[in-house]
Amino acid sequence: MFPLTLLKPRAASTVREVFDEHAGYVWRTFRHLGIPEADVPDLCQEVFVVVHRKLGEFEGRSSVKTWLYGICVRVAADHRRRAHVRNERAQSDAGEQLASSSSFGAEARLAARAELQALLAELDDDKRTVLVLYELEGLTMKEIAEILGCPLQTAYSRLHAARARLLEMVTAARERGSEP
Amino acid sequence: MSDPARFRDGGPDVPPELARLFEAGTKDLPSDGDLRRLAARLGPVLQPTAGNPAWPGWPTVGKLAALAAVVAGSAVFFALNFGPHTPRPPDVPDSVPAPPEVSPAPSVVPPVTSAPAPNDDAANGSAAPPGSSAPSAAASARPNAASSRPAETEAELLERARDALSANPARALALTEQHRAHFPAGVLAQEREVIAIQALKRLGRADAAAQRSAAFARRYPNSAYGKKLNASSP
Repeated sequence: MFPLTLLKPRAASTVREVFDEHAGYVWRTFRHLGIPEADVPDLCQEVFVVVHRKLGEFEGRSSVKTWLYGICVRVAADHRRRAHVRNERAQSDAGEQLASSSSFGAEARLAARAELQALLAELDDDKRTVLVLYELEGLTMKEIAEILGCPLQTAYSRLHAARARLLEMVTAARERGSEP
Repeated sequence: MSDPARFRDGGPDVPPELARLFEAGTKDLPSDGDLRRLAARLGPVLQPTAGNPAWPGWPTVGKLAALAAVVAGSAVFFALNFGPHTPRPPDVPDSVPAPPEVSPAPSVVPPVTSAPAPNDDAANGSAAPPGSSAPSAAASARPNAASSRPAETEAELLERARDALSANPARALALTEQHRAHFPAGVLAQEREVIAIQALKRLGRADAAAQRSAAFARRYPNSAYGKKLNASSP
């Protein structure tokens, strides 16, 4: 008989492997969840310290990726709750990076980032999280509902509302004759 | 219900502006330098272990490589961020007695760690209620300007404590107190406590070890180190 254990996703064996495979995505996720750029390394560090502590207990019931994004979402939520979060810095990050950038490719990339972040900033945290995990991180809605601990229908509703809001903003920008 | 097409895949209902921005967003990854600096900050946390969580007692085989990685990583980090690397100060003397429970905080310049201690609930799906999470970064391990000791990462400091554990538990304990004073909201607070508890046991201070274990269990009820500490209880 086919051993059932082979059906379980393989748990990553070391923190280093998890880091090498996912650190870039963890970083990108925090960026899109609205964490000020200067705080992103701190939060990434938090994530991998938690991974270090918990990897031995990870049973492979979900993929490492799903587990990791779950940690990211909770670390970001904790970060937002802290009274000292420096909101004003988030708003100036993209502009400062753009100003200090020299190459055209980097400028275009930072400009696109600033545009995207301006759009995402219009969403509340719940909707933004679903949208980022779905549209940018490529998770399935089932995985997202699992990460957020909410019914699948709730996750769909948030995604629908977030997308509708973005479409609304793009339409309004077109009417004004500018980019969103 | 099936998942809808993603913005970045385009389609008749997706404005090209959105498809473009989300496509760009998926490619907006950190630079190699960003990731190298992050790896350097994490130091021994990224080193292979025989079983997680095992940093306070990782295998001897990995020690030299881990230490080399930490030193190399820190050197790169400091070269990039703080200019010339200042030499490490004299080590804590072997004769240092076991410190009191709360030692005065000496001045030190921790290099990077401003993040508050990670909350293990982040991995358990039970986010802490507002106000109950770790201390703020503002109150964490930011340097005291009047530092007389050059920067040493909290990982390096605890690596020295862990190395001293077998031969000189009093020194290991002193180093963990030094860590507590220098990095009051360091991300490796749990690792520090585990080393300190092991040191107390080795010093024959079973009551103090039990007291500290109990405090650890209260502060970190979901810690992966909980079982390890219970298993090694006298």
